[in-house]
Amino acid sequence: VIERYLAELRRLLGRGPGRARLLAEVEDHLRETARRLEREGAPPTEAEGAAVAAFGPPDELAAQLAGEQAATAVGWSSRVLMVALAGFVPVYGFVENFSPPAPWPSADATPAHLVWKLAAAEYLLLSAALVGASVFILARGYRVRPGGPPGLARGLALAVALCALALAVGAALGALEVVQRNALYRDLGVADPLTPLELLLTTAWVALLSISALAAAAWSIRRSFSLTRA
Amino acid sequence: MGPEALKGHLDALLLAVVARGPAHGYRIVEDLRLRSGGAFDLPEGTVYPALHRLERGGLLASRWTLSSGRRRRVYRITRRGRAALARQTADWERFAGAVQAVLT
Repeated sequence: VIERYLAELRRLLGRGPGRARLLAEVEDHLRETARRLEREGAPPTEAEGAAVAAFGPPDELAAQLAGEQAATAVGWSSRVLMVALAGFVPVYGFVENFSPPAPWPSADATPAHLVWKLAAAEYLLLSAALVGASVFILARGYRVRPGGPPGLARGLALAVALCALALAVGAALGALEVVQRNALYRDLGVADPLTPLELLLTTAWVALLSISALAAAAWSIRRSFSLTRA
Repeated sequence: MGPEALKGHLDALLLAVVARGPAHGYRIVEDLRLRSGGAFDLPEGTVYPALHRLERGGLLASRWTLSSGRRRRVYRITRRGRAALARQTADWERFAGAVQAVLT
């Protein structure tokens, strides 16, 4: 009876983290309960059946564990998102302070598409920051509650993912704008552009922040949407 | 008393049990049942995800031990766990006192 219960729980838990540890703890608990019941006079099969019944259905246990893990994943992904957003502040300061200032050298050279890209990037980053902060606060509140509704975990995970996506797109547009603006200034020879090393470091840092935020978001989506399997 | 009645209080109850000394899951469930006079009738399995969550939150710590040839995960309360337990106990006493005052 205990073996069947453990096999079912193993199947429901899939390959989630903490699976081996939980299974070991559950097995120890069930066998300990069955031993106690046997000492009290129950036949072995009955004792195992009673131990399993007292433990609760495996699907409920798997769902509860998945819910706890989803809450943790959403909490951490929202933290990673906030750190990634904060990481853009020094990049923005660096680019704005060390790249040549506007206005553009001549009307012909004014790259409207670059201005649009910069505006779009700033808009996306600002939106991501505002929404990300709200999600972070919600996720903090959610984390401290025991369990929580799966729908809330999924909603928060999706919100983190949208913010991370806005962050990545904004970062890509901003980085592209910096590279193109740099090239334009160099061609016009009106001011010193960023050095290749500065450009490389800036884009690498921006890529690292974006990838971290996206990876964390993907992790929390995977955890929160695995709730349906349990 | 079913799981619904315990909702929101399970963390404090588990912390209180573990605060009495390191224990493995089975012992914690037994202690909870004995100390409540059998009033807490919740599926025993629900305790494990809660223990794991408390550990992730830094309120409990755990390690494997060998006891009579069996590997067991033993939980102990951390300093943060004791502080959380003190806060939750104070909150509960205020709440229970207020309910008592209204009911009687």
